[in-house]
Amino acid sequence: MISTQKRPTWQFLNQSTGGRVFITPLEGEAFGLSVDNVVAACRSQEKIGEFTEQVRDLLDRMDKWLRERASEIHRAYFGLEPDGAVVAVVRRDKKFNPDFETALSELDLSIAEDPAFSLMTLRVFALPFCPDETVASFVKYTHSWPGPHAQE
Amino acid sequence: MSSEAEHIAIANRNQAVLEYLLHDPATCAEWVAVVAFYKALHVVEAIFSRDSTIGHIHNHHTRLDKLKREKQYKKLFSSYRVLWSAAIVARYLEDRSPTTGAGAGRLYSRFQDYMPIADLRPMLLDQFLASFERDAATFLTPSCGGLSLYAPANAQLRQSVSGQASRTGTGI
Repeated sequence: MISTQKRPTWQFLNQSTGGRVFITPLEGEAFGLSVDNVVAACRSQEKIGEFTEQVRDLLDRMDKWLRERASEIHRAYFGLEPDGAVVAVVRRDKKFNPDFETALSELDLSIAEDPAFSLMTLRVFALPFCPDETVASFVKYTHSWPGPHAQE
Repeated sequence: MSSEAEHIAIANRNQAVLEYLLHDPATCAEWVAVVAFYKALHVVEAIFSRDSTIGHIHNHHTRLDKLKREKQYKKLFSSYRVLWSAAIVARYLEDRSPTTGAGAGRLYSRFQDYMPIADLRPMLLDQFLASFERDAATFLTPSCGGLSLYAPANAQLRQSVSGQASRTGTGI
């Protein structure tokens, strides 16, 4: 017996052939896109999920690293800026510390080398002890360690 | 796009400024950190100008990213990042605490509060600029592409003592 249920109709688009697609959304005005842009938009959508996962993993990785050096660190701040993620680590001390700087470079390199962070572009730097207002001029942060409730 | 020679010429001018500033670091410690970083930046650009897969880079973030992601340049990253970070503090660290009233008392009145003059050469330049240049030299044309290398304080001291010794005919 042949099912009478209506099957979805596939529209086949071949990127190598090119062409344009005209879309009428439920909300807003209709718009046209090249097939290349349709492909890019679909790929971005796929990557957003992966990127979100990588941000979560990065926060976990930073959390672990910061905990190991809790005695030296006052707070750390994370922000996502147009050119990538930024982490500012504020030390308890006011003075430049070459060993701490070297350890931070090693952390930065290890994250860059880790395929689990393939979509992340990261910049990390240390600041000497300073208040939140000062940090805000270096990074527009959305997350900080320790969390507000864990503050001393 | 600038060539290796053009970037090295700028790096050498920065080296000349660095030497000038180091005569009186107490007056301008923050500028020592800034000039040291910009010297390193032009050395990186000189190296990248020789690499057709990279070429010229327009911003700090991308330059740092290239250094840490391109296998051959990784060894430059660690010291370059520290010079970059110290220059950021030198340019932008500003204490906005009140100068009068209750709770007054700034953490930073000058860059020296972060990097004392006595630490400037041994902890920043001798450790990170000298090591950066040593590693960078291998990527430049022979004779470091004509780069004037920073001489660590202890090397200068050795040179000066050795110069005196040869003039007086005494060994060291």
